[in-house]
Amino acid sequence: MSALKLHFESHPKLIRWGYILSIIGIIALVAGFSTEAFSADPEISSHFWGTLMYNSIFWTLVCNAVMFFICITTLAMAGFTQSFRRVAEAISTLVPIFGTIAFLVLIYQIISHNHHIYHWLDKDAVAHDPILKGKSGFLNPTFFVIWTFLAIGLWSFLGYRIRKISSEADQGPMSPEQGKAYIWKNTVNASLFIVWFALTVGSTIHWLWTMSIDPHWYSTMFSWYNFASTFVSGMSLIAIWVIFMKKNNYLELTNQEHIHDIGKFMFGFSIFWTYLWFSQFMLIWYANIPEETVYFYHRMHGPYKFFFYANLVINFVCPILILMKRKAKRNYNLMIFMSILIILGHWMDFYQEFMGSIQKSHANMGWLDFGVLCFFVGILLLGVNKALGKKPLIPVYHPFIKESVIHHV
Amino acid sequence: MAIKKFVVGCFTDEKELFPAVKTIRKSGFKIHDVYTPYPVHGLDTALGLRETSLHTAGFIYALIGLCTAFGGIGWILTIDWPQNYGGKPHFALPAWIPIMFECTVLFSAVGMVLTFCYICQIGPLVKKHRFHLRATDDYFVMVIECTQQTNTHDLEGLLKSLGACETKTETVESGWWLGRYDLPAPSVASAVIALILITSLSACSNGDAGREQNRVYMPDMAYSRAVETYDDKEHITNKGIFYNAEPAKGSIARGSDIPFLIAKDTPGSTLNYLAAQKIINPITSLSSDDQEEAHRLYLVYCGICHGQKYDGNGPLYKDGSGPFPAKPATLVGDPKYDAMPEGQMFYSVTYGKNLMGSYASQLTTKQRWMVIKYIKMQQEAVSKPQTNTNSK
Ligand code: HEC
Repeated sequence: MSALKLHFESHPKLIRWGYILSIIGIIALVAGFSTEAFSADPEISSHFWGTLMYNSIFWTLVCNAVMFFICITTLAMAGFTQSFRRVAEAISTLVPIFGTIAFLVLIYQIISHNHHIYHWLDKDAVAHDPILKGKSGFLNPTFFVIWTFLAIGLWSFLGYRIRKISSEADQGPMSPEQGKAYIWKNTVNASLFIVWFALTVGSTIHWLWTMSIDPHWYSTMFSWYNFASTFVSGMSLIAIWVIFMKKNNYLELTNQEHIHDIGKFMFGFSIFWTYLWFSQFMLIWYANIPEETVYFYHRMHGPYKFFFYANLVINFVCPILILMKRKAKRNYNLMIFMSILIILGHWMDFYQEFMGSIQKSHANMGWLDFGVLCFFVGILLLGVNKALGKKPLIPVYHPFIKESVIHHV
Repeated sequence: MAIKKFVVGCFTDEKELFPAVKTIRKSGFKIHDVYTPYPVHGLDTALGLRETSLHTAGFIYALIGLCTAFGGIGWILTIDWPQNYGGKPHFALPAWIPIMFECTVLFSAVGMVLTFCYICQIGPLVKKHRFHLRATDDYFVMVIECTQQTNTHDLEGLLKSLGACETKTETVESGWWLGRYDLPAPSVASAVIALILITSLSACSNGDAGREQNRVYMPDMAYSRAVETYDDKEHITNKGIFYNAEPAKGSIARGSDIPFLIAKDTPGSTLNYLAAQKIINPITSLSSDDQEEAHRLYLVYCGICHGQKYDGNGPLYKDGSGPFPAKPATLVGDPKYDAMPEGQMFYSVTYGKNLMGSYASQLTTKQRWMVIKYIKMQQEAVSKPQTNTNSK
């Protein structure tokens, strides 16, 4: 195994593009900050903060979903992921960074008392509103801050532990006993992450951060729906990076077979996402109760109509038709294209989810949205580039590495 | 059906099988098939089989299922038998999607199973030649098709040298499976046919069979506990539950007009009569056909008192010489009625005014609003004739 290229040389193109994109992003942020952030008109200031919110939350959750992928495959005792797991680990190192940005943006909404975005921050309104009063045990500033802090903090911390344990597989060959102990240690830590993930991403965190923008409305599907969104995006992100590494002659042990399996995840979870989308939509459409249809009415018939339908086309019709064939999932270029499409599609889904509730009267996806997107992508490029260089690219002494080598689908 | 000769070699280990397959293929022999006790990963590539197109077939079946469901439901619910389900539009696509999905999956699954059977030439009663019974247990059985030139003896020797534990040469019928059935013995067949005949005959013979209720399997599914639309509601009223089969208060039938919610005044009061001033005519304009119809309705129902010229001097009044005792209102030309809001006119026509009776039973809500709009148009035509040209 000595011939393997384990060390990643910082890639000049990545750095160049990382800086270009993040500088574009910073310019957009500064421009938005100075013109919109403190506008007297809450519509305008909320446009800025809302854009920042959905971008930072989206990217935090996508990177966190990558850590979820590592943990869930650990629990499933999957072997095929070992040859490219370091790439996934590198992506997940961005959770603390994006998480901090999201945390600051969210906390600012609470401190600045922005009840244009979070209506439930308005104490007088809550006092006269039996529905909001009933929810105030959950929707209150104290709980929001504590839970947000715990969520992001523990994702980062537990993810850090997983990555640290992963490094032990670089130190030297393990005896079968040591190997078993190592797997067990991985399993315990991964399950801790999964439990916390279920309590946050699997349920509460989307209610708290996103659904509470429409505090009167609720859907029990909501968190799962968002989880599915971020999970397919996470898988797509892994696919892009792994293929990028392959094209630069790294990851010799990873090949079409592994990409094929990642492609299956993208295909399957795109359909899972649609299943949740439809279940949520159909029940509300059929029951036709005004309290519930408010959420969809202006999205379907109002200014967000384009995004409503584009969402389905990009995130369902394209993946199901294009990724269905075996050959498609084994074609590197097509997979890169589909990954970018899916990530942008779900980014747009987050856009309509947040902005569709924050500014109902008009949809203006524009320079600020794309600028902030550039900022996050730029940081992602720089961050992953740096994290990849820190560790050997393949955990050569991992007990399951052989499974990855002979993986065949 | 061709009769062919085959050389059969049995292996006990996957590890020997793969190199053997390779060598045999390299030596130019045609491998008919390899029978294994379980699916062997990679054997298809080793045998040089092309990738199966079963999934393409599955995709096509799925599309057929999707179109069948969509076409079927769509035709039934929008063209053949449109009904109102929960106030939803007839083309209620979201509600159909679950069924479309189910049909897609069903067609795809069943279609693929049948196609699979067809490709593998298996099916109920189909006669299959088994080259070696232990292929279903622990042997990997390689079957090589012979040609005229094949020296079976040498080939068996080659197989043995490659690790085969048992070899043999067989001559069997191969090829298409249609027509090659393992028919059950005549006695079994006739017994089955007799059984079918007896049961079906006995089911038909007794005139009352099937009418009496027998044991019911899963009664909750056979008899809905929910109140169904066209059910006999007696059993509900018998239980003392109030049920009056009427739509909820305030519901409006699909396609019908918004009701006039103002009630008739109690004698002596004009409260509702005045309140009616605020009601707006839902009909904002009349097409020329509508105008003709409104004019006709006016002549039939109103003109006899209010006059053809809207002057309150119809045949029944005739300047006081007719049989009707009171002067009907001068609908056009009298400032009082020119200024009267349409809602209030509607109130009078609906509930009656002094000596004028109610017309609610003769004219529908829509017709009443039409006639009133028509009268208003006549009033406007007189007060500003130059702007209104299309009035009669
Ligand atoms: C049997 C004779 C008769 C017929 C037919 C008749 N009306 Fe009248 N209508 C009257 C009389 C009489 C009055 C005056 C009532 C009063 O104010 O005392 C009147 C009054 C009215 C008024 C004024 C009501 C008010 O609130 O002051 C309207 C509007 C009116 N009629 C419309 C109609 C319309 C429309 C029709 C046809 C559907 C019609 N009438 C048919 C006899 C008739």
